[in-house]
Amino acid sequence: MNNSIIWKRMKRSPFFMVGLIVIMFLFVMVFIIPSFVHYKPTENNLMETFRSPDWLSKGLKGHVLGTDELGRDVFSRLLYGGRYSLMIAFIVVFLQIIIGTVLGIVAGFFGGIIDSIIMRLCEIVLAIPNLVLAIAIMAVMGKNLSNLIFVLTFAGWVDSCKVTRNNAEVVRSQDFVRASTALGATNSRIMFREILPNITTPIIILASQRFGFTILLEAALSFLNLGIQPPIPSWGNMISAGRSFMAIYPWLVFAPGIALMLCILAFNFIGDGLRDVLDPKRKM
Amino acid sequence: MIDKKNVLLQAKHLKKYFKLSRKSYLYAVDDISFEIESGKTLGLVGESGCGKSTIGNVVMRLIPQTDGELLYKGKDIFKVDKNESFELRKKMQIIFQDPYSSLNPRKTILQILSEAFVIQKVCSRNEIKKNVLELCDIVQIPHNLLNHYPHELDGGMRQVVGIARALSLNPDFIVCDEPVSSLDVSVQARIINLLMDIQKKRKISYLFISHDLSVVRHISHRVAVMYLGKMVEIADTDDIFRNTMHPYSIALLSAVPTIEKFGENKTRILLQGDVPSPINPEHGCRFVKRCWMTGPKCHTSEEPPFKEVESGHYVACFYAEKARMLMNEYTKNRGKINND
Amino acid sequence: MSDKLLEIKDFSVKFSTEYAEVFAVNHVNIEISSGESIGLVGETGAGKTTIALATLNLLSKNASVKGDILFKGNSVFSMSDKELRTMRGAKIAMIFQNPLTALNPVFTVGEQIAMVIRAHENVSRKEAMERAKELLNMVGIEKRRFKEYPNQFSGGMRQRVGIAASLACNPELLIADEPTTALDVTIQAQILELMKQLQQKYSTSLLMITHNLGIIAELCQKVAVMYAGTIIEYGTVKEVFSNPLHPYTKGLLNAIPKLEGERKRLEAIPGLIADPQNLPVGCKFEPRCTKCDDRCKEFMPSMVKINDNHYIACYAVN
Repeated sequence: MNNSIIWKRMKRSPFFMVGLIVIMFLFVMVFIIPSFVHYKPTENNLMETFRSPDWLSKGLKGHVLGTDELGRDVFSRLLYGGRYSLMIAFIVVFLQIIIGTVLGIVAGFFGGIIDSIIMRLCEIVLAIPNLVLAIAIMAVMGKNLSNLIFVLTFAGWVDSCKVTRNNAEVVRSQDFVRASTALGATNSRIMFREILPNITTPIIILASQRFGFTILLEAALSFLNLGIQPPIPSWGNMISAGRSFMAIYPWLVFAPGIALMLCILAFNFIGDGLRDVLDPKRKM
Repeated sequence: MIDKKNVLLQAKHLKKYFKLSRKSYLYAVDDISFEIESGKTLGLVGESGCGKSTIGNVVMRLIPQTDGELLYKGKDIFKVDKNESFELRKKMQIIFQDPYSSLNPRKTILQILSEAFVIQKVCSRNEIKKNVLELCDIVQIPHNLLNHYPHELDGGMRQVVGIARALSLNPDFIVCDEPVSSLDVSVQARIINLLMDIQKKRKISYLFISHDLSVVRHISHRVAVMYLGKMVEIADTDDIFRNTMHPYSIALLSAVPTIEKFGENKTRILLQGDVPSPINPEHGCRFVKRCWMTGPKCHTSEEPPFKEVESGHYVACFYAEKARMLMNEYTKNRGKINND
Repeated sequence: MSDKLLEIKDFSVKFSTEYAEVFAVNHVNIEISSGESIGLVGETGAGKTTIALATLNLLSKNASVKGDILFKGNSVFSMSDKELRTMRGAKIAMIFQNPLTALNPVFTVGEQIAMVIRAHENVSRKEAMERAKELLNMVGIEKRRFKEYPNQFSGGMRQRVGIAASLACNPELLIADEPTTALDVTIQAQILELMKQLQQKYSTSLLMITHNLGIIAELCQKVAVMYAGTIIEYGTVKEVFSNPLHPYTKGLLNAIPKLEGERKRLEAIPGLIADPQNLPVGCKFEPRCTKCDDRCKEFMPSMVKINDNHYIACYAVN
């Protein structure tokens, strides 16, 4: 598709632009700003607990969003927490897409028994409640980062598998695939050089949708103290910790809560918007 | 007539059945045999469900056969090992019907035409582009189109790219699966001329599959008519059009609306009912339910044998000559016959 | 002098899309009198379907029209919704190309035909259904199949149902848009014979749109050859097909392989089919014409009368 047409459509899709701007804003906040913030996220200061937000009165040298129960700067924790959440989300979604895509293409290309087996596998995984499984694994096997990533990945690869498989099945029946077979192409060549480039659009859209979901799940796990462990900040565990003080010092909960909401909303907008941008037949 | 010494490809009793459920099978191709001489075209005509496209796929080994032999230069290519099978891909190629789905939309024309060379490893990487340019010159694809994507080309040009792709490895046999059916008339002519020129220059054999009788007549040396997985008639082109013998072929020919006979009352044989499905067909002649001139033998469970009625002209009908005679009579009286 | 049923006057249609403007139809003039059958022939992009839809005022929102289409003297573009509804289906009926999608899969065929009748006439359900059964019979479908659904019919049968529905209210004009393109040859023959019989019985006017010249030769008295949204040759079928004058018409006839006679090399018309987004100012066929001159580049040739049965828009023909 023509790149200028895509850009034109992007500009016309309000969802996409809003989502894009918010995400860009978040990126800047989370990856660039922290170097300018005065306080470290795990720097305790028991003399400065529960200070109310200075907002921007002292610039970045003050406690922009106040401090928490251990005197740590909330703003700094918010940004670092966001950094971890986003990075984990990227890694997890990346892994989900890889696993789902490979299995999906294999299922869609071969059909028959292989397809049945993979699809049944998907259904089994879908039948397992994510949270319960997460709790089980984290509780039994330890609350470290690699387990967290495993659990989050496991919870979400099925979607990309199904989408990929359906699209691969459609593409597989196209004549150009038969033409490649007629030239002597091997199966793997056909799967990854002929079919895959033609199904990237739904995968991209799916990936952007999965971000929001993954961040939410990670926040939920961290909230339950099964995700990122304190003192490392995560929006989830910040909400959890701040819960007890919500009546008196509400910003401890609101700050990460609003950040979480904005982030998920933005990713969802991008996902919806991408659908309109990349699929010309949908009515906006 | 077939010159036995010049036969390139010979199909013997090809069968392809698709299993639909435990007891029901689709008899797509049911005991088909034919020979194609080097540098000549065999036209394969029929309506939907007759199995002509399936034959193309089976001959190209894109789907496995249920039974039968396919002799290429005398050797059964269904039974060769993997390496030889790979080598044979160079010799037998295919052109598809739909110009929209036969080219990978994510690849440039250059990439599409390079594919054959890359897969078959027939030359070094630096020589590929040179080979592709030569290919373009043969079929007259302007060089500046190489960086374009398929959707930027019109249907006719896309089909030319498909032909170039089929030619890239210098095959001696090409299956043409309805190559002009999706094209406009003026573009059709260009493609047909191109195919015929290439055949003359490179002595390539074609299996030309089509439902368009006039196109088939133009390009083929021999024509075979298919009905419900069976071959009902085969003969040299002139023979089959002037001396049609099977009742189905006669009806098929009479059904085509032509400009040549406008105004006059065309002798047309109308078949009643629909084109039946090739699922679990009954024993005996498959055409009997729609035939316009059945006789006593037709209603038994005996299948009419594929017999040589005249030199090189085979028909599968108990009453082939009678059909021909009846048709001649009707034409003389300029009537229209409704099957009753 | 038979009265003019349909008059398409200096009619043009332009579509505005995301990519560009598409000039689908350019200054077309057609007249159909009652009882006449005219074929509209042309290749992809010639604008034939656009004209058909325009006649029923069914063009999409991004279409802008110039000129006029008059049905029995009244412009279809200035009719009220009510007048349009009365016209569509009852006075002008249309048969579509794809029998699969032209019928609604959730209603029986009997119901669908009856619905057409009841939409235009004040009859009871029972009576409408009776007439529907009669119509099915007339197109060669057994009456008892009226309670079956479209998916229980084959393509050819569905097209017959489509024809029955279009004839339900005795329309004065029937527009058929490539009605047999999706059908097998022997089934196509059945449909063509059916249409011929119905033509003789009811003398409905027919506008037959197709790219197949053979069908026009069989069904129509007159033919209009279209290229890039313009009519370049017009006349009786006999005249135009035995004595084609326009280089495009000649090229078209020479490009078709014949079922009988000598097998001559096919004549391919050079160049590409006109791009409706990028049409030349003068004659639309000029880029591909071997007989053109400077006049053809600058000015659109207008229709010139050769004889009573033959009109042509070309400077190269005297």
